[in-house]
Amino acid sequence: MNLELAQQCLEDIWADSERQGELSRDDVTRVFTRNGATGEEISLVLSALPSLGIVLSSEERKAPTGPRGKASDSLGQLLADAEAYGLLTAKEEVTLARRIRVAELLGASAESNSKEIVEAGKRAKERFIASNIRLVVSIARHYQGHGMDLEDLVQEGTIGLIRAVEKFDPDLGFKFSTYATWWIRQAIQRGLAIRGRAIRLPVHFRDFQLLVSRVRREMIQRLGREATLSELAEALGEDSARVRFALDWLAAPLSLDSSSEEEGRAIGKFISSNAEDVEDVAVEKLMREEVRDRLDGLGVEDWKNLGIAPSSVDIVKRRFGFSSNGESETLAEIGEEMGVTRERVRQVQSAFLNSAGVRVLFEDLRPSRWGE
Amino acid sequence: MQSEYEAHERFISWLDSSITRAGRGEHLDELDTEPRGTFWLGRLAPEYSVLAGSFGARSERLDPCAMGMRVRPKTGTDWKFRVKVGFRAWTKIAPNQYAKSPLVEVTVPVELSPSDQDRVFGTEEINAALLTLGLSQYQAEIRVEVDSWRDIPELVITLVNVSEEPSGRGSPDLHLYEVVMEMQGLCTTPFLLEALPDSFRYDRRVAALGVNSGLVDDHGVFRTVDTVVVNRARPTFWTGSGPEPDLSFERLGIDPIPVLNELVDAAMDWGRDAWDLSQVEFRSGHQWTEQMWREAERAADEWRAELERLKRGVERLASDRDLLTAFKLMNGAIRHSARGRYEKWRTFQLGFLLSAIGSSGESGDSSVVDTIWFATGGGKTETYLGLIVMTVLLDRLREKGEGISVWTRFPLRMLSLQQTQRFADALAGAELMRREAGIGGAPISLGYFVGNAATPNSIPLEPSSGEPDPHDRQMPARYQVLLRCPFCHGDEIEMHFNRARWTLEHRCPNPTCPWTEDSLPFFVVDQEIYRFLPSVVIGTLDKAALVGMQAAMRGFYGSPLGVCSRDGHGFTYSPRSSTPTGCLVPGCRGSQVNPVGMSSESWAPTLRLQDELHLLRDTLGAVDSHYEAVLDHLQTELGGPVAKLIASSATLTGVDRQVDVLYQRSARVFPQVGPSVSSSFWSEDTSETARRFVAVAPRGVTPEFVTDRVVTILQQRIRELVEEPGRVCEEAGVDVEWAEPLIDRYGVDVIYGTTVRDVEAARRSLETQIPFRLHSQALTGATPFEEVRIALDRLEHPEFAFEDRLHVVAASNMLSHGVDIDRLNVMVMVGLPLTTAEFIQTTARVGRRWPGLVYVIHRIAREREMANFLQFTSFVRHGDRFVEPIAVTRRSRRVLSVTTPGLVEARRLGIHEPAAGVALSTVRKLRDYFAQVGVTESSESSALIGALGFDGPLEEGLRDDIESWLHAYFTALNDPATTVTFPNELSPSGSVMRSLRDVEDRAPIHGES
Repeated sequence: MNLELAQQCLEDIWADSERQGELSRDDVTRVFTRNGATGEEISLVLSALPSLGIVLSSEERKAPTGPRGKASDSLGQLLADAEAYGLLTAKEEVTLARRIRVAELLGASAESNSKEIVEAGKRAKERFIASNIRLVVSIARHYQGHGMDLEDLVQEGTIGLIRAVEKFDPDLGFKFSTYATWWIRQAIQRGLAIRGRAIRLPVHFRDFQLLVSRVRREMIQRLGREATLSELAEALGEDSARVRFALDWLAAPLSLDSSSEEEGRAIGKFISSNAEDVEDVAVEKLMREEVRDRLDGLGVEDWKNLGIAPSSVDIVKRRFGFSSNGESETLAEIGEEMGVTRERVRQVQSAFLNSAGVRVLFEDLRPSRWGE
Repeated sequence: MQSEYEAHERFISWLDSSITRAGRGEHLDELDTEPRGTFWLGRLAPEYSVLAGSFGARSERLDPCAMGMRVRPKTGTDWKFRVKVGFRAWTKIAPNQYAKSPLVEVTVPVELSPSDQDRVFGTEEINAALLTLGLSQYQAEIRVEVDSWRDIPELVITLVNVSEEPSGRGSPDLHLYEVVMEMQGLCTTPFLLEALPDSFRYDRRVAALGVNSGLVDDHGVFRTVDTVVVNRARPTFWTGSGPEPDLSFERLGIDPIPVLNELVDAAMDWGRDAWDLSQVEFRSGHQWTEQMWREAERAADEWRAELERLKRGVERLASDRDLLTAFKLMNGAIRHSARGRYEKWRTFQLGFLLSAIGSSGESGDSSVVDTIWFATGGGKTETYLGLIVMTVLLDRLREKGEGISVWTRFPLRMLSLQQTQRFADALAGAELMRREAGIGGAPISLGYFVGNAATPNSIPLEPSSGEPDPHDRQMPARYQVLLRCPFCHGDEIEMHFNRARWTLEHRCPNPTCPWTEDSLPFFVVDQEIYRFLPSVVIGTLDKAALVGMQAAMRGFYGSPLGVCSRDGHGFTYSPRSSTPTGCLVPGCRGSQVNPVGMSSESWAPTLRLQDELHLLRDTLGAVDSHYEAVLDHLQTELGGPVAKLIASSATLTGVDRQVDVLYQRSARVFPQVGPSVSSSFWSEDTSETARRFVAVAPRGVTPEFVTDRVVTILQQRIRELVEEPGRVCEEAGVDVEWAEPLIDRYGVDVIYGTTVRDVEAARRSLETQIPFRLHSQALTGATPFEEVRIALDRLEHPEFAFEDRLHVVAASNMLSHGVDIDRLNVMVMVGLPLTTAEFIQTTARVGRRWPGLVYVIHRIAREREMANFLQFTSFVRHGDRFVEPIAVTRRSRRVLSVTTPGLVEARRLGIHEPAAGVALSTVRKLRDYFAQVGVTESSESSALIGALGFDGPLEEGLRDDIESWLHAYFTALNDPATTVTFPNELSPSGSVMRSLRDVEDRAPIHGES
């Protein structure tokens, strides 16, 4: 704690009270913020005020209570509420921002003498945000048509606004809107980058894409034609592969079900894929169930009749995940439990799979699927 | 035994001659750089190079091929005389090596008759002499041209370098160096300076004129010189025949009447003899014309009137107790401020005071502007201060216990700190005297009313960028104005912002200081000046524009509206939204405003003082004349008497008309000029040199190069004096005991540039062109306030070691106003200032106490400066007569259209609003009020026309302008659908002026030179 600074604050407050005859909480928060006091210092000074006979009055304006008017949609309602708060004057901005700052510095652990200041800070923050919602809406409107609804854009922007309110330093002498606009736009752009596309791209890559398209536009204007990839890459000082990649990802995603112009068939039909076929997955699932049923369906005697040692059935079931816990175990795991070597388990498995009996048993199923 | 002063005189003439020697190259026999790029004096270029020069006629001036003289032969018959020429040549003996030839000296007899045209002489003799020295490539001749002007024959005798252009490659240096020409044996009659009017006081005769050179007349032998040296004598301020009366502050503070009577008697005695006109004519050495006689008689009458006022001054002092008390205390105050540096008045200072006192009781005296003409010598500020202090003390004695007594205005944007300090010192003296004498009223205080550049308009609780921040602990120090405590003269001043009183304070930490309160009675923030109305306000004239913008300016012409009930908040004015009670202290919730303690007519300033009246010219003068009129108008309208005006001026030319235009008053100049330029009762030239003016016309090199060289030589010489005092003193012919003071007094060189650009260029050039370490400082209007203060302090209290001191000050005309430092004794002027007044004022900054050296480097390519160089002697001797009359008018319709918004606003703020008792800050309120009390278009316009005095037949157009302006104003005001909110936006001709200089947009014009 800087005692000298606390002393300075105390002197300033005393001087203000001498000069003005009375002091409000805002007079005091001004002294704190202008002198750059920390929470500890503020707390100390506040605790000393009563002994100097300084009593703080409040200058707070009553906040509007309850929503005014009814609107048909949520955005309309939001705007109607904001209207009720009205815009802030530059002076109010400074006052409220100071209240917020001092309250934040004091933190939740505020002692009783500063409770009021913390509470006032919270109210100030609410008021500050509410009074600036209209700014968010006006900025958000510019971002319509990029894949998000206005309500969602406003929501993203509001996150930026809150951040701006928290970080606003009134003593730098800027109007809040100047400062907040930057934060709001940043939040909306980020929201758009994250949520505005069917395929999410990393934010940094999205920024790169924007840069590429800007440079591309500029070059079209300058050259009078589309720039070639290598020209573009050179202008950007980037690898042409990366530029190509960015350009590719600029294209809007197509639905696989939309029909191609030429043949009237779904685009998806033209695309080969090594991904698992839904049909295959279903077939495999059915087959597994069939195999399990057959394995479980035979008794010890039945196996012996087929010329297969019943103990090897158990091993195979565990090996391929048909046992009760449904998990396939490794050769080593099975061997360890049974007290035999890993190799022995493999020999047993191999003997089982290659035995004529097994072949008979599963003859009707497609051998290619499970012989692998 | 050599006197200290004599030693100084010798020293500067040695400095001067060593520069000339270096310029001519006399000190060298060999050289490793090209001589034509090195020497700037005494050289002659070959004629072919001038003819081939690309600068046309200017080539001849830039690097002339001929020099000599123009004379008027006394007789019209055959002329016979002898011409002696001398010169040397530099020849290249090896690469980068040049050697100087022995002196070529030839005397040629010349004989010619009026019927001759151009004749050439001496070709053979000169060429023969050159040949014997093996300098066959050089040729020169003497040309004599017979010219006539108004049928009076004139001879132009010149030496011309006619060396032929070599045919081979390269261009050898064919200049002649160290050229001198002498002519004797011809009887001549003088020329008359026809540029100047004839006057009984002046001798307009000039024996001969130089051609591309200066000329000395050594008893009929005319010799060319490279520099023109003119000495101006130091005046003495006692000229009476008897012993000088004891004019010490001490004596006059105790029993002044007998001493003053002695002074008046001495003046009468002196006048009887000195103004005996037949004697004056005899002494002048030439016969007067009738017109001169009339002029002389008028001047003698003026002297008698001046004498009469002196007598009356003493009588009034003797008969008016309060006046006498104030006079005595004033002497004590000035004594306090002089701090022992001087103990007594100069006669002319006291003369001015007596003259002002003598006329002050008369009815109608406030219609006369007492103008002090200070060309006679230093001491102007002290004279003012005497009058100011006396006025304040007299006000206190006569029940004016508070409010502004004196408003002093300086015409510049910035005020010199030294000047301000002197005001503070004198007023501190006055306050001490007031306490000692037990006179009531508020402490005597000073307000520094300058403007945003230097001091703040206000200290806002919530500053926007650029405004002073009360939470910035460094802020107070930025606005320190006083250099020392005016009460104890201690060097330490602490700056402090008093948050409880909301004042920016100068504090003296000295525990033994006679001023025991925390803060000195000195205000630098405009708003504090409104709140406390210091007894004396010193400020820039620009600020007068505030009467049309600021309701709180009311204390400058009438009474404030009240006093805030909270202690230390001061006076209150019309309420505004940020100052609901009218109290200007931020956040003041003072519940009530108390009435002011004096009757309304006592508040206005008793005295308005205008410094440097001659600068109020052109549009600034025209604008000011309107604002002065409105100030007078407001003051009388609010019941006060019209303020007395005092002015100082550097020029007497046209001062009557100027004062009439500016103030609608008549002028009275003090002191009247004596029967000759060099002597009056108030001052007389002595044999001591005050300033040695040296005019230089550089040849073949730039003025900037010469400036650098001159400063280098000056600094080198001083450094030699520091290192080898014995040798240098012997060389200079000075007793070695004076070495120490000489180093102190000639160690700083002032480079004076006529534009800020020149100044900056000169200063930058020093950094690269001077072969040793040098501390330099630029002092221009653009130099930050704090830097000026530090520089002045360094100049006044130089560092112990010479190498740590400031060596060069590069200054613009900011220097010419009130920078008084005895250590500034050498000035290098780069180019001639545009006006003679500036030349006189600027050069007065050096040699204030010790002989000064003024080196004027003429930019010879300019016609005006070339002409000045050729008549430099007369220019310096008759300087005051060369001063151009002031061009100023109040009848400019364009200016009127610019000033009217401010004048109308001034009436709203100063008269209507206080009368209404509520704020008239919106159009609606103003409209309602005007309708209610019946203020109309015609009542306002007749008030304004009356204030401006536009009632003559010549001012018809101006009256029409005012009427139609107000018609538009009232139409807009009474328009119920108007969109205008504030009254100052109703103006049909633009907004209210923010400064009296707001008139013209400035555009820098650069030309080829």
